[in-house]
Amino acid sequence: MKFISLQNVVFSYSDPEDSQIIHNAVDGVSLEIEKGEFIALLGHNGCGKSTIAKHLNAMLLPDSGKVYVDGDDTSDISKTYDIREKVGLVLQNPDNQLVASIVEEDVAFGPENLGVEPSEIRKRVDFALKAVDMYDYKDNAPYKLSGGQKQRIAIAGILAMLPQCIVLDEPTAMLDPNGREEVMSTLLKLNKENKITIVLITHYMEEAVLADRVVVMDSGKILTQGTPRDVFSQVELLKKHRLDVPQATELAYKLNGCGLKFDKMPLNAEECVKMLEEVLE
Amino acid sequence: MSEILRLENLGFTYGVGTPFEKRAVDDVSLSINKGEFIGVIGHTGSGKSTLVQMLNGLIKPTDGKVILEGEDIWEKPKEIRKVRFKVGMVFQYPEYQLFEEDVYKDISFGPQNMGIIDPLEIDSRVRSAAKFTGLREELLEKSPFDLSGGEKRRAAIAGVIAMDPEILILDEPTAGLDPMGRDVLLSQILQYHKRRQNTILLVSHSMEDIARVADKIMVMNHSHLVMFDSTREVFSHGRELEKIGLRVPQITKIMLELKEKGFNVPDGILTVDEAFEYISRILKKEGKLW
Amino acid sequence: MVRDVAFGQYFPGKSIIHRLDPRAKIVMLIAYLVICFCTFNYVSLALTAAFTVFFILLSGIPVKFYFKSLKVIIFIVILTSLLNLFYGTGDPIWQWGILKITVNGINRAFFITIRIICLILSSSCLTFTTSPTELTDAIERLLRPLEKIHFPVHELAMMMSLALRFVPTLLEETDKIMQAQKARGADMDSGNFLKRVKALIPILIPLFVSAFRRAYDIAVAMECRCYRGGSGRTRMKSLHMGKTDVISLVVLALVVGGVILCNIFIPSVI
Repeated sequence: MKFISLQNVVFSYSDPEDSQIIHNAVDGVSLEIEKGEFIALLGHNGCGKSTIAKHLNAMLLPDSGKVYVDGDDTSDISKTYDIREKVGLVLQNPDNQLVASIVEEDVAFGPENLGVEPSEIRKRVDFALKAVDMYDYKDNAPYKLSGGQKQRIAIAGILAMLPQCIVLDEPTAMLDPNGREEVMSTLLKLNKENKITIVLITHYMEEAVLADRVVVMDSGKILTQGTPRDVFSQVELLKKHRLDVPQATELAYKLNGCGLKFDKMPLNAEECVKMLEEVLE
Repeated sequence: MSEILRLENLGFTYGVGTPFEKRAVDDVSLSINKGEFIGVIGHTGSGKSTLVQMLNGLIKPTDGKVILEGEDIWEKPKEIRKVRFKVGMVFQYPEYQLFEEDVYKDISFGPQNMGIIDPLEIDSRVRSAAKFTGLREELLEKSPFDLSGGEKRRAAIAGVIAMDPEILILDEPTAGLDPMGRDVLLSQILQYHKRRQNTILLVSHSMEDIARVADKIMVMNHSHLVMFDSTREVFSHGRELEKIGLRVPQITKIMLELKEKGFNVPDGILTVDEAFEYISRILKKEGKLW
Repeated sequence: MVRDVAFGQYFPGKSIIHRLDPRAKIVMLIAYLVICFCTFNYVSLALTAAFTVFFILLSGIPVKFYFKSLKVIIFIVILTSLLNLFYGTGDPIWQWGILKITVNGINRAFFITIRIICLILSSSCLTFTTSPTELTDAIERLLRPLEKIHFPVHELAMMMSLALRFVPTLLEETDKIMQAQKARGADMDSGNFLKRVKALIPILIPLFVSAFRRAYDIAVAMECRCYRGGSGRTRMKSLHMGKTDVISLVVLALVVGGVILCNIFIPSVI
């Protein structure tokens, strides 16, 4: 079995105004995630992607269907904390997930909850802070740091639990471009060097194109999935659902429509320039 | 075009006389005409937030002057509140300022502070502000805390628009919204601008958004105003912007690099459609396109 | 800016005082505060004041921050010392109507001033050199015996440390909300008392709403990090009393002994 496996997951909630009406936040999603993968989950607010994120570490349990993490069923309550140790969840607002007034004490919070030996916690905290490149700030107060730095501390806090997978629910939505870049390069590094599985929920196309696989959700269902190139080549479909496409891809798509034939779609500026250069020569 | 706002050697220093003294804005002079749509860009800490907060008197400059419609706004410090009605300011994440029992009352908070007593006048202001921001009528009776994220944002913006300001400043109005929400809100702001014909300053990190809506751009860097020109002109200085840690829209960058490689395309392309125009023109000439 | 409050802040450092066990520091502070108010003559007052100065110097934190912490209470100091000045017993050396100043009154005013200053400085010394987490940790451990009578010691300590963590965040938020409401023409600086209280509503309601939202978020974040109460939890920084802690406690004991001896052998001046 794959590392994480969602099988026909349905999760519903009742309408806040009329409890008779039931909405399906997630409506029959099946998804398999392999160890070491970097997945980007894309879609509008309310498409169910945050609900999916909370299913991956047993914060939510499916109404029907099953979620397995490393072979364990998330609805088995005796496994809840094992699962949360393996799959860490980072949330959108970095301010609201730091619990301690000192950076290193915050990072220690997870392993402390797991009952890890003090000397081992120290090692893990140092490792986690170095991995996100925030070791020099270990004695600082979190509120004095920038958004990007705070979010990296939040990632370190999860990392110190030595998870196999980190799920991030729009970690860059509240950050400026520099903060976004810091977080993205941290995630790529953790994925490449530490072999940590990453599930990134985002609105930003330029982040999604860096993933191994992109999963697009709409109204609780998976709309399409595949490599970034496969997904973003479906410009029409994405536009129909009012999702963004990188401008580079959009330009190539338009030119394709008028008789040009690119064999693969460009995803970023460099690729696009190269391709245009070839046709314009 | 008539001038509405002029800044003369405007500057601000935080914590004067303390060890934390910091120059946030330094010697900014410029003139803004009525009806212009201006984008304000600069990375975090460049001084752009301090600058815009000086325009409506929320921060008092430590040097220089803000001249609104020919008058120094700090001439009569006691009447500074009047300036805030003329220069409306929407902060980042404005939904956090909602507090009334229903949306209607919340939007009317500004007009009431202006001293308007006539309920008809207030009613028309609330309803037209709601319309401008695309807030449905039935939402006006709801509690602001029951709205969705995007609706809350629009209700909060309506609360400022209801004061009918001559200048509207928006600090990252689309932050945290999904692409569709961003798209809708931006087109509403554009429509409002077209109909109301007032001056708008939009602070944003999203160059694509700026390229789409702004006529002119102010670029702040290290507390200085480094560029203030038409959008096309500013974005044709892509390399200089990169040097101060800012980027240009992806499409602008693609075209800039093609130009640098010797292809015959112009500077400062702002949209995909424009880029498509130029490239297809070249390709058609060569017969590679029909 | 509301954020520049020196009192209650923590300054990371590596001084002897920083490294003392927070439990020792708390016990010492309590004992010290008691003894501070048991000084009745100049010798014992000098002894306690010297002890504070000694600790301040050892803490390695710039003295200006201590002065800043005093600024907050300067009004209270002046008020109480004035009151004491006029309420002395004995023969007046100066009188104007019902106001009279006696030698005893001067002594009282002087003593109360020094005592309050020592109180603030020594408390500041504790908060400056001890991180909030260490503090709550120490309180948790000192109160641990109460767990036997089912007193929720861990929960209380966790709440305290979370509250401390969110003080700066909420202060900053207050600042932002105030600016936003001012931009909508809210008038907070004029009008009578009732008007001013009413003007707080547009600030307090958003602040409460945001505090609840944050509380919900932080609860989710804590669950994600496997938090499940105090049982089975370990700590990265385990507290243990060392040689310096013992030495400091002995020094304090000597000061306490000294003050008691002084009180026995030297007559009281107040």
